[in-house]
Amino acid sequence: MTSNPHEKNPKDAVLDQIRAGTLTMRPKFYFFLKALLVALVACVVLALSIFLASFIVFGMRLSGSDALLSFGSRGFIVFLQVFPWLLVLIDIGLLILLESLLRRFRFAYSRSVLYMLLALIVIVGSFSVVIEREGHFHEGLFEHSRREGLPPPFQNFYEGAPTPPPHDLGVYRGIVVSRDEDTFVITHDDFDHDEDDGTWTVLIPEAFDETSIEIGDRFFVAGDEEEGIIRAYGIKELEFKGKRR
Amino acid sequence: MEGAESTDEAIAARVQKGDAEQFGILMERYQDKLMRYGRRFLADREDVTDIVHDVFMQSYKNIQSFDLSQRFSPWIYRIAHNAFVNELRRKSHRPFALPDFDTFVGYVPYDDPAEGERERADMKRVIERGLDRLRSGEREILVLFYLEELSYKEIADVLQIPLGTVGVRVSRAKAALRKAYSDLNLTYDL
Repeated sequence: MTSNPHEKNPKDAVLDQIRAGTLTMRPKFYFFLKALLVALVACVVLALSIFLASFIVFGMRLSGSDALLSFGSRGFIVFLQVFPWLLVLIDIGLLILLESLLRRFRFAYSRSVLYMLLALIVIVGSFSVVIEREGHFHEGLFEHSRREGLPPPFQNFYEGAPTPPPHDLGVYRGIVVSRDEDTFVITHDDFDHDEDDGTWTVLIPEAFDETSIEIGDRFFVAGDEEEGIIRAYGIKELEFKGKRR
Repeated sequence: MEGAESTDEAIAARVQKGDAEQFGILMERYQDKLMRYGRRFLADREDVTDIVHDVFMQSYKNIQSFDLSQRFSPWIYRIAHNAFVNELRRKSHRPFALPDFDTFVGYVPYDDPAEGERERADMKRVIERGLDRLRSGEREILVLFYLEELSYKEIADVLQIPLGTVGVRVSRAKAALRKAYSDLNLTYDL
C-alpha cells in the first residue's frame, strides 16, 4: 500500500503524480504482449496435456493393459490396479492450471469451473484419441527412442511405455511359439533377465476362437498361473498399427 | 472541465489518447463511490483512502487495457475489489483465499430483479443497518447491487464469476440479512 505523503485526497495526489511525470500509463502493446504470453502459456499447457493423455492411451495399448477392459469384471479390477494413475493426476493438474490461466478471460470466468473443466477434458480426450489412433505420433517417437534415443524425460517415458503389468496381478505377455487344440505356449524374453521373462503354457478360454492363434503372434494373457500353466480368463492378440511385435 | 457531461467510456477514450487531465474527471466521479465501497471492507478510514489512491494509480497505469466497448464502472470496481480484498486478506493473516465453491457448478442466470424505486430505497436502508452482521462475501454482493447499483452482468465482471452465481449469491445474502434481523428481533419489513 502506498502512503499518501501530501495528506491530499486521492484524486489530487494522483493528478499531481501524473503532472509531475512520476505516474505514467503503460503502453497498449504491454497488455497485448501480456495477453499473448498468457495465451501462449495456455497453448503449451494444452499441448502438454494432450501429449500426456495420448501417451497414456498409447502406453496402455503398447503394454496390452487396455485388453483387460474386455476381460469382464475380473479384468476390470486388474485394469484399475495397473492404470497409470500418477500420469492421470499430473494431467489433471495440467488441466487445472490451464483452467486457472483461462479464468483471466471473460469467456472462461462467465462459465462455471466444472463446465470449463469438463469442456477441457472433452477437448483433450478427443485430441489425444485422434492423435493416438489416427496419427503415428507416439509410434514414431517410440521407434526413435529405441533406435537413436530421445532427450530426457521423453526417453524415460518411452522406455517405460511397453512395460507389462507385473505377473503377481496375473497378467502375462509373450510371443506364441507353439500351439495345439486347447493350449498354446508363449515366451517372453526382452534380454534383461528380469521377472517378466519366461515361458508359459496357456489354457485357452472356451469362448475364444483358437483357430485365430498363429505361431509368431504376440498375445496378452490374464489368468491364474501354476507351475508354468496359465488358466486364462482372457486373452487378446497384441497389434501395433498392423505390425506385430 | 471539458468532458464533464461525457460518459465514463468517452472520457476513458480521451485519456487513452493522451489527455491525462481527463483522468481527473473519472477520479472525481468515482472517489466517493470507491471510498464508500472500501468502508464496507475496512474500518480504518486512512487505510481506505490509501487504497483508493492506489486504485486510481493502478487504473491510470493500466487504462490502455480498458476495452472501450465495455462499461468503465465494472472495470474500476474490479481493480478496487482486488485491492480491498488483498488488504483484508493481509490484515487477517490469511495469504490464500478459499476457492469459491458456488462458481464450481452452473446456475441458471437470473434476470436483474424488477424492483421499484421505493423497494430499492427500502432495501438500501435495511442493508445499511444490517451490513455489519454479514460475512464479507455476502456484504460485497449486496453493496455492489443495492448501494453501488451495478447490474448482475456488471457484478459478474467485477467479481469474475458466472452470471448465475451472482443471482444465487444475492439471494443467499438477502436470506442471511433476514436471519441477522430475526436474530436481533428486528423487523425486516420487505
